[in-house]
Amino acid sequence: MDDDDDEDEPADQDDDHPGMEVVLHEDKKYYPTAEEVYGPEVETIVQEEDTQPLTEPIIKPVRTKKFTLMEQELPATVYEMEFLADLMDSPELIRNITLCGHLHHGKTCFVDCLIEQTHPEIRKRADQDLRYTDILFTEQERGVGIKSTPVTMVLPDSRAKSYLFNIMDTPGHVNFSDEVTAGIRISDGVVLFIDAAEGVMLNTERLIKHAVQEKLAVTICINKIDRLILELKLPPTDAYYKLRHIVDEVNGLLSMYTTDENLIVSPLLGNVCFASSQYRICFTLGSFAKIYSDTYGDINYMEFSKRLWGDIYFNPKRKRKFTKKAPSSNSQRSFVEFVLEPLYKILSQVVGDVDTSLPRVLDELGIHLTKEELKLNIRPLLRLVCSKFFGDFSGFVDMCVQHIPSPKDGARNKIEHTYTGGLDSDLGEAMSECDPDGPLMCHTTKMYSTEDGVQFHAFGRVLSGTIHAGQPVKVLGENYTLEDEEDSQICTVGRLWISMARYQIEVNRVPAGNWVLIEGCDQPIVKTATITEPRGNEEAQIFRPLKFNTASVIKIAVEPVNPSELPKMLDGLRKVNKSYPSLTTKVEESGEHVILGTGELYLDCVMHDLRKMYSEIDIKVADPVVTFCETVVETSSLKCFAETPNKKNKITMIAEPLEKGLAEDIENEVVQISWNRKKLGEFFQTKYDWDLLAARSIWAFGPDATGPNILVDDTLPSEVDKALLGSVKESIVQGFQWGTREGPLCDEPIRNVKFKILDAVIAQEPLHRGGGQIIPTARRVVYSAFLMATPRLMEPYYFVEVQAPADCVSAVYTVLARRRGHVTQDAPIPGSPLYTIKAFIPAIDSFGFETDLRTHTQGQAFSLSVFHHWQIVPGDPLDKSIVIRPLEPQPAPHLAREFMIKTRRRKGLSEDVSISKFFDDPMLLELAKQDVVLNYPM
Amino acid sequence: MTTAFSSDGAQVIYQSFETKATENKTEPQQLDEVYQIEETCNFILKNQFSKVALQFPDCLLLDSAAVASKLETATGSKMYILGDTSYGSCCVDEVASEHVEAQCIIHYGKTCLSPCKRLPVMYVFGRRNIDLEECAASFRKLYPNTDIPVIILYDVVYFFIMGGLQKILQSEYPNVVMSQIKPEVTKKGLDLDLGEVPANRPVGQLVEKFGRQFVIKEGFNIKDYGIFYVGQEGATLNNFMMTFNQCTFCSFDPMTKVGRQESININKALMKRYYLIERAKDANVFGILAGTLGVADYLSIIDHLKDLIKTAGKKSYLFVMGKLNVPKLANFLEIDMYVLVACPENSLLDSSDFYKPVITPFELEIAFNKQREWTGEYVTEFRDLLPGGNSYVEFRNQNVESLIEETDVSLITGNLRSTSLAKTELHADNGESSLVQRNQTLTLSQLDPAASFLSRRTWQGLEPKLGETPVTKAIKGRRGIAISYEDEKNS
Repeated sequence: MDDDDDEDEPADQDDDHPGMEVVLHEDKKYYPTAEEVYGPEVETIVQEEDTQPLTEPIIKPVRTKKFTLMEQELPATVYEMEFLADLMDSPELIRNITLCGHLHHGKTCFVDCLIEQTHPEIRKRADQDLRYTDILFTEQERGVGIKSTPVTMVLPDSRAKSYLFNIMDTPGHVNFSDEVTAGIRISDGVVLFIDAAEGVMLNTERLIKHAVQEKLAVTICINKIDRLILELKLPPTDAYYKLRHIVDEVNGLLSMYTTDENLIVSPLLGNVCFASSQYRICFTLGSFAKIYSDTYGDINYMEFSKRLWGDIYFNPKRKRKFTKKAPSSNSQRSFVEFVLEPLYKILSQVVGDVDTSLPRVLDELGIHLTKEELKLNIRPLLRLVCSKFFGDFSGFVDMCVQHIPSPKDGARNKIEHTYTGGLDSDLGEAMSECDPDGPLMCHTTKMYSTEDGVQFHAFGRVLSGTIHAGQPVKVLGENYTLEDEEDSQICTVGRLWISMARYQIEVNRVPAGNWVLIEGCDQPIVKTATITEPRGNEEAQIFRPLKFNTASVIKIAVEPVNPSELPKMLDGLRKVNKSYPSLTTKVEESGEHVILGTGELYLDCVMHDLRKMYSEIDIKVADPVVTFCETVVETSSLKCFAETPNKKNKITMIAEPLEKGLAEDIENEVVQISWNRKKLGEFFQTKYDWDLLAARSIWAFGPDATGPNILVDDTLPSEVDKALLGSVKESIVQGFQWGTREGPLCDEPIRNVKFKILDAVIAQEPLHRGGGQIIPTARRVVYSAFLMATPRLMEPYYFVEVQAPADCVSAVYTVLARRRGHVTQDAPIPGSPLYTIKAFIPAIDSFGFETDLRTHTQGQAFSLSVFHHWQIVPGDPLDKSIVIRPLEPQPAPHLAREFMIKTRRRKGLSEDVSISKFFDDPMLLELAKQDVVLNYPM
Repeated sequence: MTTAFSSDGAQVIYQSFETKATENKTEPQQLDEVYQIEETCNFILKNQFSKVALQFPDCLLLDSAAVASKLETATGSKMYILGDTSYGSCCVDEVASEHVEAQCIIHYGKTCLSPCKRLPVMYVFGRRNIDLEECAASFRKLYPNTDIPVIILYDVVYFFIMGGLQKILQSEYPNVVMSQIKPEVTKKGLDLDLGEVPANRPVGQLVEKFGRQFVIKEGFNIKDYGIFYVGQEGATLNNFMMTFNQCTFCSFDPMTKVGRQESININKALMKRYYLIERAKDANVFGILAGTLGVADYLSIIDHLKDLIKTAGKKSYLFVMGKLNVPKLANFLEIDMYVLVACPENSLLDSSDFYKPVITPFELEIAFNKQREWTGEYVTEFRDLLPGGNSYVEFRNQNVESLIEETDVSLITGNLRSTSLAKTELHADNGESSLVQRNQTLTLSQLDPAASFLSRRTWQGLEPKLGETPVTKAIKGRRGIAISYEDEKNS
């Protein structure tokens, strides 16, 4: 086909004698145009024959993207939806809880049990876990939770009273700790899941600490107790010891992280429950005792349950009493006798002898099974028997109802901890009352993308007032303050939902105390937000941004394969940024788009979403790197000074390392620069033994208010005109912050350094001490003082926990040693054949560690790693005698130099630091005069 | 103007210029040749200029007196030597020459060949020797494939020798294109007659950039060509590499006689500029730095930039401060970012030492002109951004709906930033009544970035103290400038 001729059709159609006029050859028309044939509404495209491959259809079907498993319609529930909606109006009947725990300790499976209990039509298939709250395809494929997923359901307690449970199922992998943080923020308590066989693990410990820090009620659920019986085959007494050991361990950790002595967990208090999600077992001492009272009647089960834990024995002979001493040498503790032994019996009967004795036992227990049901495989049969025996998960409900405050009771505690404003206002009052008629305050902590990944819905908790669908609201961002109102926007709420993992219940209003999924105001929200009334609530301040218990130290640079697709990639980056709470996406000085995440798995999930879900483009990824920090290890070898360009001001400084722990205190906001001088001074005097003068003359932290460096004015009033110095404080601080933001070694932030101003000559005339003179000079002094104080590079270290069978332990050591890691502890897990190895490993050498470990242990070792601390890289980064040869591993003392040079190259900086740039000529003279031995040629 | 505002000026007088060792005084017998005295005389006599300004870069000032006297005796016209230009010495300093009311300017030494608009200019590049054989040899080494299409660009001081190089290479490399120097002439058709223009010009696309032109073959794209640059590395090469960033570069340095591949760092450089664009999107107050007073259309681009910044809801200030240095720019704390309007070679300023970054007009365009996107293409010449330029993109034709409520997450700070494009325009529309009803939604958004900085300052201006001070008659105040009033003793 050729469309060239078609267009130059002369417009003289209406001639009298068509066909008679003289038409030039090139103007002749032989064929009708495509438009004439097909009509004006048909698009015709003329192309060469091979532009489109045969495999590609000419008209492509419209493809809808789908990344989540969703129910097609509302499934049946054992309660009415209206009843659920009605319960939302009674805050005292609501519980907002977060299920958290170590990886694979059975959180999701436990939620499945609750789902099956309340949804008669949802049943798991054969031997495949339901994983109802793992709604993403990737979660299902990987078999690990990635996102926190909320479910809301009505659950009855042991007295059949209904409560509305808002449950957040969180991922257990340490990389996704940020998701847990988002869930914890809107909950009043946590249920900590612990695998009975594995016990307290790396993440369990971290979560206890986190929950305590966030001031939440802590309850624990010891899950997978079937493993003690069926897998480890422990005798009942040993199983009891193991369970008690777990409880003791948790209490030990609790007492370590809190000063509140009442915060203990014990089955006797009722805040410990035992479960086996796989076999649908869940009981507390109370609910187990109730089974006895239901069967035999006439037992005060509350009193009975108090005698079911600890060193307490049942004496059947002496008036059937409980005693503290064992009545005979072979008598068992009451927990073993009344709880574990029946449990062992049921399990062993079902597993052991299905055909002969089981029907009789079941008959005794009052469990009736049909013939078909008896023919089931062992696992489903066991699940069926146990679910009939233990009934609903009322023990769990009892535990939560008694030990986790309702949103009304928990409100004051929650708000005190999270709200930036005061509580003594009307608004604060309304929030701590959980008043549904008060002004609207809603705190959103997570963003969920829609099924097709185009839009986001904000998820949060209403703290006061009632949010209505279609209502205009004001969304306050994380940078909103009463003084700077820029970060706020008026939006209109779209629909509202109660989230049920795979389906959503649309509601038109959500009162205080509940969780809600909000449509329509995702645009201005980056991570968290405060949603309030559009007007009339001007005093509203924001809820604190989330404070994570992990740091994003792994960095990958991304770039679209096709440069013109950059806008698409940026859009994708914006979306993953919303989707992952602790993810940072930014452009570095080198112009690279970097993504900062907590670990390899985390970034892998981010890249999946970026490539498949939010932007369908090819993206190049650079090798992962880590962030570095620059620091000093000694005090500057001499006073460093610099003159301003107009030679009228001179600033002198020295640098020295900060006291141990101080940098972390600043970062964790244990100490804040915004405190008044007195409070700030006292903190440094008492905790770090600073003298009064130094403690009172702290000028700034850098590079920002929580930056781990300090600027101290150490000048003496007798030598320096303090008033004059004060007039340029602002400029010097700016120069200091600029300098610490990008250190002189490789433009990475400075860390753990104290800069002391020792002397300052400041010009009298304001004109001669303007910012233009002072700021660049202050930065130069910071750099020269830094370089004179033996500069070093710092790298992030991971804490690694490996579980491996005994024969693999040596292999773990080998793998760790090859990656500069070192073991701090290795010990057998009690009551199991496994060992736990705790170690440190530099994050930069941890890429591929997990895979490496699996190969060396034939897949028997399992590891988790999480950021722990910063550590100095061995070697002098400025030692020019070191030659870095390509493709050769460097010996340890060369590492600092290697990291520095490679970082500089990556950033497009010159190969080496030009030190003399930061020194004035007079300063260099001084250096020569003092005969300072410099390692570095200038 | 090379030091900060606040110095007493003594430094300028005692300042010593660093002259490179290679730039020694030219032998008197070579002057005629190096400075093309004869051609210059012809040019002056032909056009009958009576006052001529001679502009020398700092490194050639040593020869200036000799050249001037030679020219004066040969032509009888009055010669003025212009030293120490306020901006880059590559640009023609029209302002300085107007001080002496010169009728034309003879520009010596390196030049960026930026067109100027007021006076006729003759460029004398000077001649630097080059070992042609060495150059051709390194060319062969860098391009083993003889079919490869290559464009040869060169530093202006080597222009006279390029015909020779072309002759050497033509037989082996049929696809080599030699660029010609042809400054864009905006005033009077002055034929400078630089090198012989080949009579049988091959048909193809004529590319004109930075006063150079070359022809690329029909059906070829500039991307398909490699570029071979003869000259030392520096602003000129950087400028070429940024502009033709899809081409691979090789260079031959006649001073060191080293030929090498230049491609590695250019992407890094480009990405660094990209970072600055992202910074620009975050900035609220801009300073427009006039880095030239000679290049044609510099006023139009300044107006264009002001317009662009205003439409984006930001504030701009205009600065004229001669040569830039760190303390000068750090004096203005309210400025978040500077835009430098200068000739292409001086535009690319490495601003890492500056307190606030300095970007080019093109980068500002990318940041705020929604119609323009970052594609990796880079324009250093601001004239291309103006209406009629090669890379002009209209920025006002957006419909209002798409403007409102666009939010974006800053890739530097991770904070939300709102592109408040529409706000100012909407505000301007209801200019009929100066009183606007206080509206919660609008009052939030109408924060003026400059005002919000000023409100943070500790010194808020003189207190009016209305009614508190007795009324007095006006009295005679002090005279002079703030640095030292006339009645003050000179310190």
